[in-house]
Amino acid sequence: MLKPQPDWLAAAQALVDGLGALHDAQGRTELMETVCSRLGDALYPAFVNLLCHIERQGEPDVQALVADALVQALRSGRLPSGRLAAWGTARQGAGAGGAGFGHGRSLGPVEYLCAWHAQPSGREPLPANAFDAALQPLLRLVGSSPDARALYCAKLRADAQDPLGGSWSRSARQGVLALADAWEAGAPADDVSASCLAALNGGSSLGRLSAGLLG
Amino acid sequence: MDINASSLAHLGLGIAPSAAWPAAPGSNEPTQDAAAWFQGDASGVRIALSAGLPDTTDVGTLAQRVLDHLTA
Repeated sequence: MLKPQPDWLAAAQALVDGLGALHDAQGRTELMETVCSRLGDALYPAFVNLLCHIERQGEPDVQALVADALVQALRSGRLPSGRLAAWGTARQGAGAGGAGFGHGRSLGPVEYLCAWHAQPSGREPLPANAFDAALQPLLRLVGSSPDARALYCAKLRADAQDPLGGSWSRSARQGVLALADAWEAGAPADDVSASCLAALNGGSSLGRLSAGLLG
Repeated sequence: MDINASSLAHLGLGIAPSAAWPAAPGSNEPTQDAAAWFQGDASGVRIALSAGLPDTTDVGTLAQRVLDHLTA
């Protein structure tokens, strides 16, 4: 359980210090995995929030350190992840909370936000403006390393196009693919986020309206 | 671990617990100040590489130092 007043900046600083103290990619990946596993799936967004703090308030060398740690984790297939209920399973456990669902899927920070916003997961959907506020710093942080961005885009495409990946809703697949297309093309984070949101919400004016993007 | 209003009420995201995590998924409680989610800290404090790095390379210890600021 989170403290009544978590010290996000101090936690982000401690994560950066820990990554700095470890000099090999495996150790850095293990540190991020351990933080996520000890937080638990329900608090995985707290890890995402730490990454957002690091992007917004980290010095350039700090951002580079964390981006490098993420790219190394990506390369080893161990991107720090959290579990959300898979598409089609949330209704079975309505009222029980996401952790009570039998079928979940581990998602990295970007795809976690997409799934949280776009498909039933047993928790209230992430509002569009909150999605945008969280996604943009993640995109900038990972995108500070061209390698990380390319690797992450490849992962997103592989996940969304996985024929066995039935845990994605159609809109979530479309949103993830739209994000990968725009991000890989070098669009700025706000444009990538807007493209993703439009696709997540069906690309229609109605969908955009329901997502709170119009008016 | 259960997901409920209180478990994420302290993310520092500026949203009322009842709006962030309705007890009954799918309820239509209005979100409040959702734009404040993930907005970060307005203190202006920067995160920098520390001159004195931790005196350990034990991953569990380093992870716990992160969690000490977040979890009770």
